[in-house]
Amino acid sequence: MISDEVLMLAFQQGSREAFDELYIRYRGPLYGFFRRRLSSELRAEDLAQETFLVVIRGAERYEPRALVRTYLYAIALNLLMSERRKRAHDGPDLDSIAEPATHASAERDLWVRQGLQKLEETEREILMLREYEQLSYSDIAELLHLPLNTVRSRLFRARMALREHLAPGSNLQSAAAAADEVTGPRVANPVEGKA
Amino acid sequence: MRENTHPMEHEEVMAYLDGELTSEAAAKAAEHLRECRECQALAADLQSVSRHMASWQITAADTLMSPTITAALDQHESKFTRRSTRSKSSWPALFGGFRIPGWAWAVSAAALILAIVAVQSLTSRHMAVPTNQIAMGQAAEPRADNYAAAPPSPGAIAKIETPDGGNRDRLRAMQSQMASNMELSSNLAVSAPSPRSAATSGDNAGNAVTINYAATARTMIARTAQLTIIVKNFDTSQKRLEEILQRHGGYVGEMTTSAPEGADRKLSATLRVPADQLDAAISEVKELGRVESESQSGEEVTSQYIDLQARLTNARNTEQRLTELLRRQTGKLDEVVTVEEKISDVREQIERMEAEQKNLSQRVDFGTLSVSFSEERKSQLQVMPPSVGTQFHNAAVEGYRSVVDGVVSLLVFFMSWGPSLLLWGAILYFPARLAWRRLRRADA
Repeated sequence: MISDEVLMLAFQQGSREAFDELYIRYRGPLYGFFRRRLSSELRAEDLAQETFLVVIRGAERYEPRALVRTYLYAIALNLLMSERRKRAHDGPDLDSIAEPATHASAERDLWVRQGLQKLEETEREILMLREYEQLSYSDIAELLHLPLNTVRSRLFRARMALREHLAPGSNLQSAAAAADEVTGPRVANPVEGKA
Repeated sequence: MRENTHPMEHEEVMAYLDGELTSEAAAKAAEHLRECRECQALAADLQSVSRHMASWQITAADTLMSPTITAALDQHESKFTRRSTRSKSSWPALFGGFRIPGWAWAVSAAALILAIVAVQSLTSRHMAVPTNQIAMGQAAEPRADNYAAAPPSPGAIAKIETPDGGNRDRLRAMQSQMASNMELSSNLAVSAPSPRSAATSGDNAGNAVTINYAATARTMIARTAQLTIIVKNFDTSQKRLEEILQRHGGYVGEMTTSAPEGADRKLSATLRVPADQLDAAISEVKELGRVESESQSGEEVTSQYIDLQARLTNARNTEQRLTELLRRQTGKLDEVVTVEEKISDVREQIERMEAEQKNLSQRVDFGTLSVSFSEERKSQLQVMPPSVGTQFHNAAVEGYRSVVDGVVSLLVFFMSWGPSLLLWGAILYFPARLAWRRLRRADA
């Protein structure tokens, strides 16, 4: 299979087929990226398309410094920030964790969404970028302008907190102990606080 | 402490599961995980979280590209087609191997366009477009940058500026439509009374639009009127006032009524009446009672509106450019944030100006009629002489007060002047005594 980077360079040289392949590969993931973060299905669709538009317009300036996957999500994240800013101006903030109609009935999805909603904003973003977009710690650190160690510790904290939200009846003590090791005896720790 | 003795941090277990450890560290972690039950439990927890999260799947509806993307792709592709065509071009051969630089083509094209515009201007000099000549202090000619941004096609100019009946009608229709919409682009140039300055337009809204606004804009006047009326029947008048307002399609901006006991009732209202109905409404309100005072004023806000519109369009263009920049910007997050802050500032300005514009339009569309009316009321004379006992009591109190005041005043006088008088008395006593004795001796 041809790598994304090779396809991107081919597209930079004018190959439309290369772009088509990239579009097929990333159209769904990008839509998912926006759909999970925005309540409007239509807007998620628009922004996914806009991401590709930015890729086309910036193709001439593209340099293979990072993975195409990271490059695409960096653009998507910029668009998302812009959208959130716009929404903050236009009216109430709607970019909470989305609730796609197709999954509204699935109780487990709802749990996950609700659990994510309870997380601190940056921790939620780190966790989602890791779990759904499959980005590496260093990619996430670069995208969110955070030190690598911070990403790692906050990702751990987010996972522990989400585990707590998802399974309130599970063995809380082990989670609390785990969190203690990471963060020290901090009351602010969500796991420890609840435990 | 357990934290100090445990050979592996829990974050490392997570990093191992995420494939984020070096091969050496990963091997060590795998070995540790085989033995440590605590870490095994943690790993199971972490994997369980990932499994739960994975259950939230999003399915994209269709995979068709939007027309915008297709168009952008075509444009992207055409660049390469042009490049390859250019490289195979026979032009160099035509000019004997001499390559004409791109800027030379651009200069030639600009010169050609200017020549056409000049010829058109000279031939249509006799065309006179009626102008109201709104003085805006703007340049008589459209600004150079307008043309630089989007040179109008010669064909369009010829069509509009030709003083033939059909095209002139078309010009007027276009002007009146633009006036009614009041949608002026940032490149709007308000014309001085130059008769040759007609209208030029680009191919779309984003391009330069230059019109003789003086010929098209309606004068915008914000009217205000103030009436003070004395009415005979307060309740009836209030009801009639509401009827008048309803009849003329107006609304109450603010209304306060006061009815203090023993005083006449008052109503103060700020009414907003459609500008074309204001005169009729005023004359009807005046019939409610005796007009005590009346004043009317009108403020022309045309220039203010145009200025605001131009600034607004400029700000919108800036926002659009910044947004475009942001879309293209894929570099450092700092730069993105800076651009976003700029966008935020511009948006704030736009919203402020939009609110101002809305307010201005509303002031023009709806005249302000301030009405205050009070009830005509006959005051009752209330003369009640006090009783004899009260008069004696008052006299006794006054007398006592006078005595006390007198004594207090005397004491105050002596206390304030006493020390001074004693001092001067002591100083002047002996000279005065000596003088007195001599006087008596002389008499003797």
